[in-house]
Parts: sequence; structure tokens; C-alpha cells
Amino acid sequence: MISTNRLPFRIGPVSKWLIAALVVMLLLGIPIYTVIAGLFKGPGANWEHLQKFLLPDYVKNSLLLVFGTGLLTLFWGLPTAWLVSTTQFPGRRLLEWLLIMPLSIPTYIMAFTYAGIFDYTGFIQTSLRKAFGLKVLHLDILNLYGVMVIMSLALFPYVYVIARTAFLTRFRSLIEASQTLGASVTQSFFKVILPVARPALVAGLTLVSMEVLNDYGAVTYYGVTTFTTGIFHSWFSLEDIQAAIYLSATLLMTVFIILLLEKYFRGQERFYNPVLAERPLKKNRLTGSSKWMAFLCCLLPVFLGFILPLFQLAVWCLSSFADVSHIDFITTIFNSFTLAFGASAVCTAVSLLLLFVSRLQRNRVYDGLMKLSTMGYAIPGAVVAIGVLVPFLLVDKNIISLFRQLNLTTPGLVLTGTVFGLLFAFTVRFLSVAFNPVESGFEKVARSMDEAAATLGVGNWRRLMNINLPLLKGALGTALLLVFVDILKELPLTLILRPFNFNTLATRSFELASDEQMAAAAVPSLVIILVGMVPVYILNTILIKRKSP
Amino acid sequence: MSLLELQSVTKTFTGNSLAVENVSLQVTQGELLALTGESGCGKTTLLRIIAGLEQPDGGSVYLDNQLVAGNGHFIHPQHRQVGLVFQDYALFPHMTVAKNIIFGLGSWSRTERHSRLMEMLKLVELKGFEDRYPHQLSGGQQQRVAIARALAPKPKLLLLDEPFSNLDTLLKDQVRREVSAILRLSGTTAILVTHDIQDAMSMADRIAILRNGRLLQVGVPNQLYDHPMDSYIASFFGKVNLIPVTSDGGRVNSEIGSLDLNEIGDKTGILCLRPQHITIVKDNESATLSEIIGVTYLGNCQQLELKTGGCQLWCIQPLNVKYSPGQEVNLRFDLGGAHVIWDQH
Repeated sequence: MISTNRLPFRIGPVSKWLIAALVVMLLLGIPIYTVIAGLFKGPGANWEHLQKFLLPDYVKNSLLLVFGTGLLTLFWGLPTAWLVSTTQFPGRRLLEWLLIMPLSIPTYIMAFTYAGIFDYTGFIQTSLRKAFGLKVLHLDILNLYGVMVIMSLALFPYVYVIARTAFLTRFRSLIEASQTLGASVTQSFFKVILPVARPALVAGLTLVSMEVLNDYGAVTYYGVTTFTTGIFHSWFSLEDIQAAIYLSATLLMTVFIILLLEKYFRGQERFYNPVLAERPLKKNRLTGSSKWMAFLCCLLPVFLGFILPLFQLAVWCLSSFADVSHIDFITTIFNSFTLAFGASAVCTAVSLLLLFVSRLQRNRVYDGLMKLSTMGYAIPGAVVAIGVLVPFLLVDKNIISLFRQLNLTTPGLVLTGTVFGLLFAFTVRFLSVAFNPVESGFEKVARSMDEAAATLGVGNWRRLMNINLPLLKGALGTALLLVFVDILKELPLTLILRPFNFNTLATRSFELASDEQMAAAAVPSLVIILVGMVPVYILNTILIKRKSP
Repeated sequence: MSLLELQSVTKTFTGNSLAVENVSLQVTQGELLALTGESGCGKTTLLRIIAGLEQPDGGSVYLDNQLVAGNGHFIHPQHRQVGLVFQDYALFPHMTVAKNIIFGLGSWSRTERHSRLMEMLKLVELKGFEDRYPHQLSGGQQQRVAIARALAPKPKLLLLDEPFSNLDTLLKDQVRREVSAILRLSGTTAILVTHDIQDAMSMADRIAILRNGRLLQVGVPNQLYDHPMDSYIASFFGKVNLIPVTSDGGRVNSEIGSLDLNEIGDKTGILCLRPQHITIVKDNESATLSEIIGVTYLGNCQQLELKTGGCQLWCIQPLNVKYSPGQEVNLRFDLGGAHVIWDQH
């Protein structure tokens, strides 16, 4: 007969892994807890003043920016995507690729570069003066509308890439069907393609809105007040934490409403999968003047969003490179690269942990929590920064007073005085950038691999190291690269959380530009752009997936 | 002594479909049991429960007299010593054949590992292939590596999930013989999951048939073939004539006439008669007249579709006589090979 000796339920390695993953997820929520807890403490002393005199402007400008930039990105992105994916014209292949490149220029760099181009001493006004004398109209772009145009030039590739992928893969048969039914290209575009492509376009516009609401550099430079500048103002000028938190909460609500709208407008098409087999669409060969029209139409946004600013930066760079303090510059590069590499390693490792545990658990509740914890990308950098700074400062103060009571030399600000706070905040905000490639990597590793290892008596740690890690090499590399570049560009979060006198390429270029030292600012800017160009090609394929909330 | 014992094992998946319902089963040391049934009958789920890859919702699993699942206890697969050969083989693509095979021998010494590797390579006849990568092997070779990898750590029990489904028909017969030989040579207790009754009959000591998550019948192959418990099992083993019969005390009547079966008492049932147990005879007084409806050429024989009374019958005939639809023939039934499933009251 079978003996019924009872064995204890094994609290095996699985549970330890689960606890580790849950703790990480809990920590990733810190900025949100801060904002929510802050709301219960009541508004600060300046809130009434802010609400009365500044908040209406913040709301108005932020919404106008989101709306206007969104429309303009459609203006740049949609026709170009349509032309390169359905027609054949001279230079199409090169332009198809170049149209993604503006994404390598951060909005704040685009902003001050254009400010320089249109400046009184900039080459547009100088050459106009030379040609027509002094009576030429002064062109001022340093306003809300200027920011809209500038940001749309830097961000339209989101719409372009998403629309192009849709045209190439999903709607290929629809386009062909409508054309065989006798519809002209234009007719099939407006009657068939646009309505069907709507969910994809909404996804692209959502990404654009997130970037617009996150921006600090461009709006500050152009003197436009938004939620983000409001948070900076409350924190740095008014030193009013509560006001900053109240603004953050309002901004978060705006983001939340945008995400809800996205869900509504996307309808059933929630899982947009761009990685379908691309069989190139039979392209309509353009002839006569229309082929040159198409060429110019695609060249214009590339010229304005990439070639012109890059050219201007290169010119400045040549004039100022000799004056750049090399030691400072090398330190800045070193800071930027180590910080970006450290944070991308943390983001990738956390993604690996969360997804590996998801594989062990096979639990829907866990997977839901995991998705929630990667939503940090939707939270604007300034909000993440405030949400991290407030609790970390509290911890630091307590550590210091504890050491004082024990009569020991105080260690200083352990969390906020070092890059630790910055690293943590980057992880919250950029986790999803690493998470999505790692997730699709995991999808390609058959579950039976893990199960085979388990039935061979191999524990979780060895399974992770010997099976999953080697098979995920490519995905992990992509994740590291994408986060690295995003952090290299990052500005608002770094400005708030960086330790005293700590500069990155982004903060340096912004500070120099703010001091009207455009030429000097061009050097770090160019480094950011050149490094950023490396993964843009990779971004092309995974961009849509990585940031979709 | 049974090596594996399942007691009323039950597993439900979300959506409330019962994947496995109340299955009790024993496997003895050295035995090869085939778990078979249509796809979706729960056989793979049962296999995964035994391996520890799924937790049962009810019932218990004992392995080598040790409770491994049930009553709130659960032993994870890595501590069960149960080998599993996956349907897709699940060979680690980034490791050589040798690395794959010794993967489960982490705690062994270097020399032990090496000698076990050699032993396994010899067993599955893959000597000289140890430095190849899985993608450089044929389907049959990959499968042998998968078996060697699962056997290397000397599991108490080996589980094989649809081991032949990825092989083409020509290769299948050969691989079946090879795998049989490997399992017998190594003296492994094994459970084989397959939807193909030919796999089960040619390899297994006993066959267990599952339907909709329930265990219908367990037995040695010819017992199941000759004495199926119900018409579903009878059909599962291949084409069978199912003829309703009634017994009125001494005589058994059916649409194909009165049958010479000794059965006492009033009852009804179904006569299972395999096509090969019907022969066409020249004029004979005890024969039954029948009309041919269709003829299907099967290569080595022909299959006739017949109509007798209200009853449709299948029979297999050699190719030497030509038959055509509409023709009338005399049939004789070999009742020695027949089996009646009586209705339960």
C-alpha cells in the first residue's frame, strides 16, 4: 500500500523569486504613492496663487501644445508615410530611412538650434539683411506656435513609422482591393486607409502627446509656461513641495485622460502587431512632375527636422570646438555614459527578473501587476523626479539625524546627493523601453525549454543563467542600447535629481544654450545626436511596441 | 509494486472545462504505459501533472511511494526525478549534443558525467555527434538526443509527450522501433502520450484510454482490442462494424440475422465485428445476402461497403476478385472474433 508520509510544501526558489519581483514592483510605484500621499497633505502656501494666476496658462498651453503638435505631426508624418509606402519616386529608399532620423534629435536641442537659426545674428536674418537691407521683418519664433512647429519636427517620426508600418503590412490587401475596384490613390487613402489606420495613428499620436507633456527644455527656452515648467518653478523658485505635487497630480490626470481617450479611439484594435511579414506593396510608379512633388514633399520634413539643424550644429561646433575645455567635456561624457549604461543595465536586469518570474508563475494577477509597473513611461519626467525626490529626501534627513544622535560623522545625502536617486528614477521611467524587447525575446524562447530544464532537476537560478540568458542575448542587447540612448537625451528628470555640480551631456548642452552660448552647446548636442542615430534604425522596427502603454 | 500511483486526480482550467477528471491509475516498475485518446482528451495535461509542470486541483500523485502532489503538498519538477521528452524535443539550441545530454548532471563529478555521456551516446547510437548543435541533426536524431538527455540523470520515470508526431510516416516506424529498443535496453519505466493507436499498440505493455478527461479503460493491447468496454473504444482501434443486437433468452437477434452466441436473459447490446471478420462466400445456406454499395481500393486489399437489411457493414477483401457496386454477395460472419458490449441496466 502507498504510504502517506506528508512532505512539507516546498517554499522553493520560486517563492523567493516571486518575493523579489513583487518588492521591485512595489518600489517602482514610489513616485505615484508620493503624489497620492501628497494630495492628502493639502496644497502648499503658494497653491492659491498658482491656481489663480498660473494654472490656467499651464492648462491652456499644455493642451494647445498637445493638440497643435499632434496635428502638425500628422501633417508631416502621414503624407510622407503614404508616399514612401505606396509610390515609387526618385530617392524614395533613402528618404524612407531618413524620415526616421529626426527622432535622434531631442526636442530641446531642436528648439535652441532653431532659435539660433532665426536669431538676429542667425544666418537667415543675416542673409535676408544682406539681400534686402535692414527693413526686413523680424521673425520671432520664441512663442507657443514656434514650440509646436519645432516639437512636431522632432516628433513626427512616431506618426510616420507607425503609419508606414500599417500601410506596408496590414492594409496592403485593402489598398490593392480598393485600387482594383477603380478608386484612385487619393480616394482609397481617404475612404479606406485613413479610417482603417485610425487605431495605429491614435497610438502614434499618444506617443507624441507623452513626449510633449514630458518636455521641459524646449518650452522653457521659448518662454512658454506648461505643467512641467510649473513643477520646476514650484520646486526651484518657490521651494514649495506641495505645490509641485499638486501640479504633478493635475498633469498625471491629463496623461490618464489621454490614455483613456487612446483606448476609446483605438477600439477593438488594442493589440497592434507591427511585426508581420512585410511583402512590399506593389508601388505606384510616379511620373512627370508628380514624382518631383513627392520627392520634395518627403524631403521637406527631413530637411527641416534633420539636415538643417544638424548642419547648423556642425557649423557651430567647428567654430567652438577649439575653445571647449577638454577636461570638462571628457568628465561630462564620462558622467553621461556611465549613468546611461548603469541605468540601462538596471532597467534590463529588472525586466529580466520580472519576466522570468512571470514565466515561473504563470499567473494573470502577477502579469497584470507587471504591466502596471512598466507604465512609468507615461509619467512625465518632472513628475517622476518630484515623486522620487520627496521620499528620498525624507530618508536622507532621517539618516543624517540618526548619525547625529549617535555622534557619528554624517554620511551626507546618501540617496539624493548621489546618482542613486537618479538611477532609481530612470528605472521607473525607462523600464518599459527595456521591458518590451526583453518581453518579445522571452516570447521566442519556447516554454518547453524551461520545463525541460526543470524536469532535468535544474533550479531556477541555473535555468535563468544557462538557458534564458544565452537565448535572450539579442533582446537584452537591444534593451540596453535603447535605454542607453533615451537616458543620454533625458533632460527634465536629470535637472531635478542630479547631484550638485554633476553634469551630463544633456544638462550641459541645455545650460550652455540657456546662457546663449549656442556654439559651445553644439558640441555635447552633436554627441547626443550621433549616439542617438545608432539605434534609430532598430527603433524603426520596435519603436511602436516599446512605448505603447 | 507500483512506481506511480494516481488517486482521483482532477485538474480544471480557467473557463471551467475539466481537463482531467477523477483519474486513478497505477504504473508498475519497468512497465511502458501508453496514454491515448483524441486530441484535447487531457492526456498531455495528465502527463504534465505527473512531471510536476501542472498542479492538480484534486487527488494525489505518488511517485515511488512518496506523495509528490495532493493534500496541499507539491514537489517541484526539479526535485521529482521524472524525465520528460517534449513533443518539440525542447533541445537547448545554444548547446551541443554533449552539453544537452549532461545538462541534468550538475551534481555529478566530471568523470561520472563523461562516462554517463558515453553510455547515453552509445544507447541512442549517436557516437561521434556530441559536438554537433541540435539544428545540425535530423528529426529522428534530435529526438534521440532528447531521450538521452531525459534518461541521463537516471530518472525514476520517463514521460514521452507525442514522441512521434513530428516525424513523417516513413521515418515513424523505424523511430518507433528504435525508441522501443532504447527503453527496453535501459529498463526504464515510461509513460507515452500519443493520439496514434498504432504507436500505443506496437510499443506499450498496457494502454490507458482517456476521453473528455476521464479514464475509460486500461488494459493490455489485445484485451482492449478484443474486448473494448464501449463502442467508442472499439472505434478508436480502427474501423469496426457496430451492430445493435437483442437477446431474448438463448438466441441473439440482429439485423444481420440470428447469431450463434450463447447469451441468456433479455438484454440489448452492440456487436463489434471487425471488417476482417466478415468474408464473402460462394452460395452457402448459412450465409447472409448483402448488396455492395461501394468499393475502395486500399493498395494491399480492398474495402467494401455493404448493405444488409437496414444495416451498413464494412469488410476487407483480397484483391484477387473484382467487385462492383450493385452486386449481391453472400457474407459469413466469423463470430469467434466478435465481441458484444451489453447495455448496462
